[in-house]
Amino acid sequence: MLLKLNNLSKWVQSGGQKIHLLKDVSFWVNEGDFISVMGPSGSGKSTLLNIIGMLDDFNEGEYTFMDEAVHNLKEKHRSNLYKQYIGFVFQSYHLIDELTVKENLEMPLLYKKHGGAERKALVADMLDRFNIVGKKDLFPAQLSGGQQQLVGIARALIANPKLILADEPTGNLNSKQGEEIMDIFTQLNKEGVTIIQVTHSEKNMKYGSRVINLLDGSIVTG
Amino acid sequence: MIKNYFKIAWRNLLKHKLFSFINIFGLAVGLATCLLLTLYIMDEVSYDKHHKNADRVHRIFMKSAGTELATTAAPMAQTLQDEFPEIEMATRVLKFPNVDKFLLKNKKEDIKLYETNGYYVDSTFFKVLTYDFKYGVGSTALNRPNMVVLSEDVAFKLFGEKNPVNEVIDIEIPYGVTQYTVGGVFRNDSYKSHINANLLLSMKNNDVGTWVDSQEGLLGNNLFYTYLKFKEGSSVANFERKLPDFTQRHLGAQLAESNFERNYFTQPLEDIYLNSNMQWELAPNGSMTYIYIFSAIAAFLLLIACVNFMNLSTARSEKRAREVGMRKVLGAKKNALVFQFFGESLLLCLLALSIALLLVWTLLPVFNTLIQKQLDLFAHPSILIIIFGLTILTSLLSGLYPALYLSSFTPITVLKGALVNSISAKSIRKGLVVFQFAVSAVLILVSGVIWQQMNFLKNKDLGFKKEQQLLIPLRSVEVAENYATFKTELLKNPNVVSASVGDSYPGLHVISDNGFYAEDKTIHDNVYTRYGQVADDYIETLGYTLLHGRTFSKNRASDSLSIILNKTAVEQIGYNPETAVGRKVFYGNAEEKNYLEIIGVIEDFNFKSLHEPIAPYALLSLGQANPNYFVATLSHNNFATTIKEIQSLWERLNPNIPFEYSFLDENFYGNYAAEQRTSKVVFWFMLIAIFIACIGLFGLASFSTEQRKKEVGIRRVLGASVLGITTLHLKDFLKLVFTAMLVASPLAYYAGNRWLENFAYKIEISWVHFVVATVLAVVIAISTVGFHVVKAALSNPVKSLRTE
Repeated sequence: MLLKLNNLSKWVQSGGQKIHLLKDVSFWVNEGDFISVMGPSGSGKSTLLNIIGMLDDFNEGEYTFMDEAVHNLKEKHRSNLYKQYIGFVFQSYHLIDELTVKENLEMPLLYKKHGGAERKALVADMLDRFNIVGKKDLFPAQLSGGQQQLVGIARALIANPKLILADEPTGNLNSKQGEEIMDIFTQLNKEGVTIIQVTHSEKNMKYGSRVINLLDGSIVTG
Repeated sequence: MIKNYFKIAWRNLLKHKLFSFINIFGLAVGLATCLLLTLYIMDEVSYDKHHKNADRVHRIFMKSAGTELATTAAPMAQTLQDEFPEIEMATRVLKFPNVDKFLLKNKKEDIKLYETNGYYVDSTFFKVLTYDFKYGVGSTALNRPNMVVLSEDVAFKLFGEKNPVNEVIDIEIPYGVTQYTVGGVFRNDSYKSHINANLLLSMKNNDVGTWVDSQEGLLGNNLFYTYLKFKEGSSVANFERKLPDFTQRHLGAQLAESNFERNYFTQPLEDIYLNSNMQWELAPNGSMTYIYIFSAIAAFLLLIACVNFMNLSTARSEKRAREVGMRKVLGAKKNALVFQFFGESLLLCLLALSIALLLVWTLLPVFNTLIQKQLDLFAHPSILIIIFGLTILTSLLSGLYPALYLSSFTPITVLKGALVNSISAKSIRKGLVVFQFAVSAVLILVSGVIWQQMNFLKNKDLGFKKEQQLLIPLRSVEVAENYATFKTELLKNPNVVSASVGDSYPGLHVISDNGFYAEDKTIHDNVYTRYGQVADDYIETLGYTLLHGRTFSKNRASDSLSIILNKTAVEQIGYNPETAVGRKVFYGNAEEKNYLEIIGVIEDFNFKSLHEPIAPYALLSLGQANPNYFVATLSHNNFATTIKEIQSLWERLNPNIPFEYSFLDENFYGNYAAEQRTSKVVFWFMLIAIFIACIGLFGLASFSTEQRKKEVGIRRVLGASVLGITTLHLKDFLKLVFTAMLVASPLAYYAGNRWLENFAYKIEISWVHFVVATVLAVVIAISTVGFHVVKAALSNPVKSLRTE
């Protein structure tokens, strides 16, 4: 088992009232899973993903990631954990505009203090794997949306994570580009990477092996 | 990693050209002014630091009736040295009264020139004070009578490049011509000293030497600067404690008799230049106040420039926030980000520094004229450390807030796309703009006050006729004796209205003084009165108002026992101005009581600069004494021609003496040289401050109108007019300007009044100043932001809303 959530809740205080963003959410993820999180706007999908990614806090419940109790970990420890094992893919790519494709790919490695030669090798690998060698010196603004998301996925993968969290990865893409990205996720999943995606689209949901439906912060059917 | 940071920083610079320009150029101007002022301050604090054992050398000065005098009597040095074993050596400097120029002649080469700043010094001078000799050595330079040590510049003018030691030159002063042997040449610019000498002449000599040797007693003729070098390990404080006793022993009886009080003190040599501002200083000293003023201006200008950087960086943070968030998700720690943003500000500062150095290099000559100094960028090697330090400091100052602010974003809020510009960041930004404008407003107000006071000084009625008064110095015995011929010939010129001679003129430092008392009183009641000695027609020429009695008669000898007093003097002595004419005033003690008869009373006038209130003043007849100055009133017609005619007349009558002249009003105004300099410096730095603040505001306006594009679009669609939207935006900026004025006004009021305290006659700071300054600030602010605001209001709402 890769991770497990147990009765997890998150709320905010508004005008003296508790507003639940997530309420008593429990589920687990095994290594090699491809999970789709679905639900209408405001149902808590992104919040759940952010909590799993340890970018956000929760108020109640337990979260165990690779046998570590995340709810008991200190901030520093927690960030070390997600840096090592989790890669993020965003709807709006979040590439750094001032850096070229190659430099964007290199950045996570810089923060993980990889040596120069190793960085070069890993970046070259990624460029190769995603067929973007020719684009390596272009800036994000010079790429199409699909190509940017490709770079985004490559960046998430470069540090060899166990889990990829994708927040509507195809939301800003046309259907053809979307299909290509989903194909890549499927391929990655086959190679053993665990994937959790948040999506609106029934079509994308079908790429996954399991679906979690959220409504007003609670899981409807497992 | 660092390469990556610099790459990002550099690409950001290129991408946002306006912001980069404002940041770099603003910082460059701030750094450049800061450097210029640092150079000035370094120069000012470097005075008298070079003397060997400078800490053991002190000058003795005295306090009498509330005034401090830098000088003491001639025998002081020897008496102290005889009585106090802790004194290793004492030496004196004499600036002889009324000798402001020396005519130097190298007969061999037939070179003649006037030099100023010649001082008579004891042979021990170079044993107490250190000079850098180019030719000769200090220990022997003045070991015989009639020796002179020249500055490098003077030596070059007289002898060119060759070694002039043992050459003989003629030195002429109003009391005669004497031959001096050159004993040495010292370098001008290697050391700075409050003794700004061009010539150092032996105190033992054939012109003033006899007078110096005839000086007895410690009471009168306090004309000598006395420097004491103490033995190693002796306590100067202890010595100073023994001085009241010393004064009592030597002067007690005399002081008690005339009801004077007097105390002697010491001041460290190193402190004289910046901390001593007494009566009769050797030369105008620097002032710690101006060091403080200039340091404050330098610091504030740099801060203003840094504020631009902070404001524009945080304003753009929304743009950078995404990068920060992503970096955090990818594993960046907070300090890595702080480090990155510091790196960026350092890069900017380095770019700014290179422009600043270029600016300093081009502007230094202009600045030198402004402050009348010879500053050199690389005179002190320590300037490099200061430049480096200043750059680091600037990048820390300007980078600190953005670095902490930007690195503090939590990735989740940023990546969700929530608005990053929090209320607190906005109010800090507004606060910083208020700060910038407040500094500019203080400078606007203060320079307005200074400007008005300077104008007031120029135009105030001084109680005499100061315009069209030509002054000709009579620097040699021969011209002084023959002034009558010159006067007769001169008055034949139809454009010369009137002419006379005297020992001084209004605005010149008055050194002649005496204590006068009324018939029925004693020396205990004497009134300290300064006086000038003048010939007939002097009062008429200068336009003093005669209230009662008469002026001096044409017969030079007959008025030797007459005195003309100003109203203040008459009243303080105790007579009624109406009935004073014919009464007698007395001076001297019971044994040597002398009197003068009052023949006239004149209206008060400012015989000194407007720094000081009118004091008792008297005029005595010149009698047989030689005058120092010739005064001629010219008519308005053909000014330049008249002066040329006077010159040719002078050259015909005095072929050996160069013709020199000046104007009374200009000379009088020259008393405010220091204030004039400050006013110029403050004025220019005010402009720079406004400039930096304005480019910052310009950038901020461009940013905030950009941010409110959507709001403007919606308002336009809902029917707002262009004017309505423009005022809406302007209101925001004007609020800031008004707040700044509120902050600035009391500060400026305080600073302006502190500066005005230097004057006895001054303008009042009124609400008009504040209104004018506010209007000015508003106009400046509107013209700065106006462009962006109007552009935003005119833009097509469809375009601004389409992106949503």
